[in-house]
Amino acid sequence: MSYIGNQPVPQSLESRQEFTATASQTTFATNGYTVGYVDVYLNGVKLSTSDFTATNGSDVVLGSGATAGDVLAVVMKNDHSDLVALPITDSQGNNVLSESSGTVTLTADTAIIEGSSSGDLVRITQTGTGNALVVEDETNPDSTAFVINNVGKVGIRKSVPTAELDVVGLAAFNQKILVNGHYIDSQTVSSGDADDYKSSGFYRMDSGVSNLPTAYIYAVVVFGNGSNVVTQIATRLATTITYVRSFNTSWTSWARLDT
Amino acid sequence: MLGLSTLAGLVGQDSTPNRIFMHLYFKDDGKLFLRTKVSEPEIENSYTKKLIVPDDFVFTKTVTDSEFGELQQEMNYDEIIQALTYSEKRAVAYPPITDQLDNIFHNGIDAWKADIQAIKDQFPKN
Repeated sequence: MSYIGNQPVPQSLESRQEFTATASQTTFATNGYTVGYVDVYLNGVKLSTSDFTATNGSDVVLGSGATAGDVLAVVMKNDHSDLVALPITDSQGNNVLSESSGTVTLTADTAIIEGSSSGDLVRITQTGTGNALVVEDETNPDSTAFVINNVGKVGIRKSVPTAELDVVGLAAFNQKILVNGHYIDSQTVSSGDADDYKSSGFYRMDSGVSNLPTAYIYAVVVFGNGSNVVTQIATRLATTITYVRSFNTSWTSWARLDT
Repeated sequence: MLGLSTLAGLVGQDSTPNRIFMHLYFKDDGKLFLRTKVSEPEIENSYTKKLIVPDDFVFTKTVTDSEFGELQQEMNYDEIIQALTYSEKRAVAYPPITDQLDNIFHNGIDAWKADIQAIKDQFPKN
């Protein structure tokens, strides 16, 4: 039989422990039980719950001491919280959760994992060499799958990621990207100040942007660390008129290059 | 301090072949903003402070930065005027050679000498 969760020991829905009492013995130490799921028999007679106490998960304490030689049997039932037998089927008898050769398959239109905890809600521990997570299309194996391998490398449409993030295809970002602590950007700038663009990137700067060489539209390439090592190259739209300037402690002038 | 009016000869002249000048455009606070070897007619009226200097004029000064050491920093308008030598000012103010030859042809040597002398007088030897 297969199980979800911790496999119970003993592997059954209930377990039984017997004790031979000593004179006036009241406390019997069991191997452990789930509180509320304990039946106690004394010499074959089931005791009322008022005749014993079983609240600490291990000891059964009689209300009055036993006689030497009495046989106390403690039946500890599983509350089923960690024991589910597979397969689990839906109302039509189709497998929802099944197991075969160590592979557990969940078949559902939607699977939801919901929780509210300060710890990891879903944790995948892969100690072997296989991938930790694979998202495939209808093809299996899918050579363009989304993959998180066993060391955390992510492949997007790349089944064997060779970098921490390995993407085959178009990657779209609506924010800057951070490379070795330096931002790279690309956007159309219609207002503001060209002086403020010190991070590497590719920009279209419209005539409303101040501190462009002249009041025209420019394609501006910036090589910069975002602070004090910056070069801007600006080419006026639809021309080869090109200027360059740099910034260290202040901006240099724009120097025209195409003459 | 040389005023803008006394530098009239440095402003507004176009470069011609064999006469390469650098056109400098300054912000109102005197900071150099744009430099080009050709005039930029479209922006001429946008700047009240502008100069034409010989192409080989060194318009930077050395400053020391705590992180980067010695840096070349561009001089501002007043500093450039101070740094220009009389010969650099004259070089920009002299008409192109072709114009001077034409002047000699039409007006004679004396007229040409008078024009040249006027420039020398405007920018006397230090």
